[in-house]
Amino acid sequence: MSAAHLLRASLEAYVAFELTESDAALVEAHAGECALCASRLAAAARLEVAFEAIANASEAGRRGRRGRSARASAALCAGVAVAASAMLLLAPRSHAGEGERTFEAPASALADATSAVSDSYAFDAAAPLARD
Amino acid sequence: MTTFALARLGAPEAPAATAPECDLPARALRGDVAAWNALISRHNHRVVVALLARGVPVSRARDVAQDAWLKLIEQQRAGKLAELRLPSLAITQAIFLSIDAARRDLRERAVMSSSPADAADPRDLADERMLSDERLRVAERVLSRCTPNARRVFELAYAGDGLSHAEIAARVGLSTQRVRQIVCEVRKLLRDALAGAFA
Ligand SMILES: [Zn+2]
Repeated sequence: MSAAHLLRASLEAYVAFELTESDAALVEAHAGECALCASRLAAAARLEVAFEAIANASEAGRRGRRGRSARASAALCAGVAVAASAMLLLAPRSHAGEGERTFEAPASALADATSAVSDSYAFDAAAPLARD
Repeated sequence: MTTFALARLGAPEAPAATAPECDLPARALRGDVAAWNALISRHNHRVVVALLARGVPVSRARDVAQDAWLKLIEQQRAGKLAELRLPSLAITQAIFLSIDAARRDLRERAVMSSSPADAADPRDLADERMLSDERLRVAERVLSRCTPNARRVFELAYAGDGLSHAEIAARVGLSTQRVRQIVCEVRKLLRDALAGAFA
């Protein structure tokens, strides 16, 4: 382990709190002695912190949209088609259950959002911690 | 003697998951040790990751996080803690301690040598901005293509309280395995879209 560098998947699993205690200790021990892995661990941590910022912004945006929807439906309440309109605006989407899709668009439609990919790799939490 | 859960916590589904999250800060503010332990179990890893993201070495991050919790507990016992917003308060406290330590390092190096080139810059530690507006817009485009449920799962995993996968599963009516899979997929999409920004 000491001669090999940590896999990026292991570093990401570490910052995502997905490693067992013993695997996390291995990551810490190696990153404590290897400058390259320490800097990769810092990068993985920055990405993890960015995910928090993204999730907070997303949640704040959704709350904002919900507030606007509520105001819009309150205005509609003055009209005749009150109930039906409010239902259309505010009804939550149905839960599709366990087999539901994660993404609205087909993979090809994601191309523009992910065109900046320069170095993608598969995430595999079960992958070994280090390459020999 | 009171013992706090400051050691490394193992699996993601920590025992703290059983305690009602909304009660914990109020109970901790009243000095409830079990509530403090549950909060530390839940949030300590995010404090450590926040320190790593700011360049604090992994060997030091855990100790600094521990000191931050002890400071908060001290403040609570001294009646100086009016509210407990976590993990942000613990992260702020930990960053403050890191800045303090970095300043001490700089001073010591300045005494020892005339060229403290490799000392950490306390201003780097204080830099809260991890994501530019442009990157945030890219991320928003990615999330806008996720289903509402997938987006909600991601938010619950990363925003605010930082719920465990099991807690999210209970909240949205999916299996823990499915929640884990969704978090993984959204994370991969975001990581790919933001590639290069955090290398
Ligand atoms: Zn290494």
